[in-house]
Formats: sequence, C-alpha cells, structure tokens
Amino acid sequence: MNKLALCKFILLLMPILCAGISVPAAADSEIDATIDAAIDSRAPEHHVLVMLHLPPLHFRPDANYASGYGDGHGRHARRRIAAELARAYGLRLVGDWPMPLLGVDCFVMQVPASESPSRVATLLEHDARTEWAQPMGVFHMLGHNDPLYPVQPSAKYWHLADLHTVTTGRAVRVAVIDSGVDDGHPDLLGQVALRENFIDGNPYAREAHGTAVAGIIAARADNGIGISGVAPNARLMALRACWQESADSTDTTRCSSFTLAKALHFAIMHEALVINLSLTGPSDRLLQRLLDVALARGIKVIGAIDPDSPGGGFPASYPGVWAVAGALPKGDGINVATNALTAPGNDIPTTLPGGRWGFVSGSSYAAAHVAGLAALLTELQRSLTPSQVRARLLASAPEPIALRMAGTINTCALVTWAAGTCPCLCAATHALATNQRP
Amino acid sequence: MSTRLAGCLGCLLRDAAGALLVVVIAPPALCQVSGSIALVSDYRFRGVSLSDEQPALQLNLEYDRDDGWYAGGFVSSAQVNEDEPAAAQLVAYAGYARRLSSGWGWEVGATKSVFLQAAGYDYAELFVGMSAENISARLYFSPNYFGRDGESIYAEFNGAYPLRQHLRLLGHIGFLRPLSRRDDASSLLFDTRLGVSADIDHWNLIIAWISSEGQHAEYRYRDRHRNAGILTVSYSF
Repeated sequence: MNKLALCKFILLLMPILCAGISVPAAADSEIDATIDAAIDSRAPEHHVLVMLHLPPLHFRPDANYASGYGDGHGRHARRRIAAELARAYGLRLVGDWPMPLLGVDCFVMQVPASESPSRVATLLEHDARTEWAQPMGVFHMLGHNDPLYPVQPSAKYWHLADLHTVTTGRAVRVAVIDSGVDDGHPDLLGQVALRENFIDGNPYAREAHGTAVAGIIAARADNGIGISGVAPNARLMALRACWQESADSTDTTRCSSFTLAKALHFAIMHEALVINLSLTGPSDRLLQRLLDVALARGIKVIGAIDPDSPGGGFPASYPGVWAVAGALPKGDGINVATNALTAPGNDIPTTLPGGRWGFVSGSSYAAAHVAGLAALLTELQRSLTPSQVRARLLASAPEPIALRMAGTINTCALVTWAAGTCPCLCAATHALATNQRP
Repeated sequence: MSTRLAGCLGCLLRDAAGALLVVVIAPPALCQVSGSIALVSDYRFRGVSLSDEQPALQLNLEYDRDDGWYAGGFVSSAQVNEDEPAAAQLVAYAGYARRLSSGWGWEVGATKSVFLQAAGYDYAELFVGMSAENISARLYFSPNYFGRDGESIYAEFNGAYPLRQHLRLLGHIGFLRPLSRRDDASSLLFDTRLGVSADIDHWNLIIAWISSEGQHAEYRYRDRHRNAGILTVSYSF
C-alpha cells in the first residue's frame, strides 16, 4: 500500500466528512427549505398533488453507485418538469416526496385562491407530463382526543363524537343558572360568553356544582385535556344565582327565589336559547311567571328531577319544563314519571374548580346532559318549539344497552331527525347488529 | 498535468460532440432527460485507472421513459495506457428496468464502450441486475472485454447506507473473471470501494477508497497503484 496515497486520502476525507456533517439545513435545495413554511397546514384545500413518473433505479456508467430515490439522478429533472408545469398552470411549486412503491414522485403545488383545486387537477391530468393529479384532501378525526372522553357515558351511549360530526351547538346560548363557574378552567377557556353574579354581598366564586354542570354542557372538545362537553361550541352564560355554603360539599349549595328570578330574567333578556336549572325547591309564583315567559319565547328549559319529591319537585314538574332524571342501572327501584327523560347521571367525569376534574353523580348532571343535547338540536333546527323537540325526545327509543346505562334518549335518532342525515350507526343497521348478538 | 487535462478536454469536445447528438435529441414529453457533469481525481473503472491516475472530466446524459426503457450516453476523458495518446471514452447504454411490488426491481441492458483515438479497446457488454432502494447487484457479460479476443464476466454488489439526510456510506465489491480457456482459468480481479457521499442541492461529493487485487490478462495497463483515494465532484441537472 502506498503510504503517501493513504495519507492524502485521510487528509481529504476529514474536511469532506466535516463539511458533510455540518451542512446546515439552509444548504438544502430551495424547495426543501420552503416545504414547512409554504405548505399551509391551515389551508391544505388550496393545494393539488401532481404525480410524475419515477423511473426505477438502474445502471449508470458513472461512479455514483446505489443512489436512492431521494437524492438520486433524475430528481432534478423531475423538479424541472414540475417547475415547468407550475409555471404553465399558474401554480406555485411547494415540495415533493418520491414514492417508489407507486413509481411516482409526488409534487405539491399551491393553487391561487381564485382557482378551484379540482378544476386545476383535472387540467393537469390531461397533461402528458403527469401520471395523474388530484386535489389535496382534508381529513378530520372521528372521536375526540380529550383523555377522559372514553369514560364519559355520553361518549359511548350517546355517540357523542358521531353527533359532533353534524352539530356542536355552535353559537347556541345556554344559560347555566347555578353556582359559580370556574371560567378560567383549562377545559372551559373561551366557553363562557358572559358571567354574572346575582347574589348580593357574595362576590363571584368558582364553585363545584356550577363548574361541573358547565363542563358537562360545553367543555372544550379536542383540546387534548379533560372531557368533551355535549355541545362543545355552545356559548355558556354563567349566571351565579346559587352559592356554596360549605367548601367541602356541593350538598350545601343554595339558591333563593330572588337570586334565581334575577338570573332567569337576565337569561331571557339576553337571548338564551336553552336554560339549565339543575336545582329543586318549592313551587314559586315568581319563578313560574318567568318560566311562562321563557317557554312562550321558545326557550328550552331543562330541570333536574328531585327523586325525594313526589312529582319530581320544582321547576322540573312545571309544565313545559323538560324534567330529567339520572339513568341509573336497573334494579335501583326508582320510579320515573312517564313524561320524564333520563340521561347519564352516574359517575360522570367533569370539570371542577381549580383546574381539576372529578366524577359526579345525580340528576343535576343528567339535566346538564339534556341541556347540551338541546343545544345540539337547536343548532340544527332553531324554529322547532320546545314541546315538539321534547315529544321527539320522549318518543325516541335507544338500543337496549344504552337504555339501561344512559337513559331513554336515542340521540342518534334525534339528530338524524333534526339534521336530515344520520351521523351514527343508523337504527336499521344497528338493530341488525344487536339482533345478531347471542 | 494541466496540459494533459486541456488535451483531454479538447478531444472530449471535438470527438464526443457528434456522438452526443444521438443522445441529446428533443425528448418526447413522456421522457425525463437528466444528466450530470463530474470531475474525478482518478477515473477508476472496476479498480483500474482509465485516466492514467490523472483527473478526468465526465458527462452523463440519460433519458427515462414512462414504460421502463432508458438510454443514455457517457463521455469521459481517458488514457488507458501511458503509451497511448489522451483519448475520450464514450459509452452508449440502453436498457429496460422494472420495479416489482416487493420493492425490488430488475433490469436488463447493454453498453457499448468506444475509446476515441485509442483503437483496440472498444468492447460491448450485456448485463442483468436486481436492485432495491439501497442495494444492487449486477452481472455483466462481454465477448470482447477491452478489445481482447475473449469473453469475460463481471459481477458486482453495491450498497448504500444512509448516515443522515443527504449523507450516505457507499460500498462496492466486484469480481472480474475471464471465461476464455486460453487464459489462466484462475485469473480473477476483484475490486472494492468504500466511500462517503454527500448531497448538497444539485452537487454531490464522493470521497472513496478503492482497492483491487488479482491479475487479469485483459487489462493492458501498468500495474502501478492498486489502491487509491478518489474524490468526485458532480453536478446534476
């Protein structure tokens, strides 16, 4: 071995290797460097994908053995062709990705806002230089990424994620007349449109009951934390008419006719479309008069049934108010009136003050579920009267397991009726599936 | 050395221009024409220097059709022997390559190598090969390897290992063996190459170490340096 040749080789090797290793990203081709910046992930619908033929690897006499598809010969030729195509059709070349499995090099081109991507793709298809072209498709997730979503009864039995493909209660104002809502809770950020305190001498506080009800109705969906509300795009009106006397338990949350009346009056004046009253008490003339006004205006009023009170308590038993009880597992022995709705009310994961989450049970929370559902239906059909919707709710028959676990409401059937399209496994196919189960 | 290089360039331009026209025809829209220009510190072909261990300038032009057929031309300054004048080597090649669903591909083709101004070294070869993204293997058969009246086969295996984006480790091993009974049946020449390839936009740098062992009667070259470090700089378009 010639030592001189070896020394020369080593001396040459070091700087070349260092140059190779330290090559910064800026030295990459113009197209590479602009890929992340230019492909607007917020507007993928303005792009087309253009496929150019990717020749198989083959013999070449020069010294560059075994070059791969990414860096190899022909890549610049294809980019040249792609740049010509972009110029010819008034597009902007953004990037490419070779796909040897398909024998194509896939180029991404941006379509001007005034043009239709599908029209451009059709034109490109007819160009002999391309293998094929297509508009960039946009896909969305099914289901929610909220970590507690899987343990929400509404997720499984109410098919919440499916419902959300057609409605999320967008812009529907839901008044939560309750104790204070923690509107700074990460899962409620931006969900509370307005917040009012109707209790004199008792400043606004973030309380458990109100926060829990608000979370069930409209906790943010797909924010990667906590739960998904039944109507995640609804606008909450956090109307504090109740106060928590003891910090330890929500059982001591109290409201008065006066505070409730002020809150109810405010809700009606500020165009709430759904009012949630997860509370119970004696019949009250003032509140009855206000409820009459609300119902006459087509506002859906939801009340929680008091299991200890015959008839369900007030305001749940008031004509026109949707009385809701928690759907408890069979054998509980609770008799529910035939015009009552049942909804998930047992072991519900929800938001709690201080950025926490916890499990709650009770008809308060079943009512909150129905308030959320009312918001979903209102987004789809604003003109229906509450009694029409409630009649439909009562008539809906869910599949047996949902009936047992989550109440009498078939949310899929309801949303199908209101939306005109079926977002979930439709009744017929589901019946088929359940019939086949042993 | 500089006068030699100038001489090489001269013959390259004068004699290769005509031949290149054959390749540089206006391609139909369905073809992709690509090419590269390279400067190598030593044109080593299967372990043997074809530029008398001097730098060489090379040009490669190729077009690929949608249906898998390809053809190309390669020109390089060359000096097969210090007794011969500076010449240019012209290689015309064509073949058919096909990609299989498994990710492997196969190809078959032929090359014709002509040494301008250095008669007697021209030869033709047929080859078959298989390749995947990072490895390839080819078998070549020549009835008149480097102008000798005898058949030879050459088998090679190539591999590339990606070190990081745009940086690869290259490896190659090849075996050249005469088939003619007139020569020593045990004559075998094998060559190896180990190198690093860096891609920077249109440019490519390869620094490699080549080594060869064995004897081969077909090569009429001075057996001076079996091992060498080679630098290649090329520009693709």
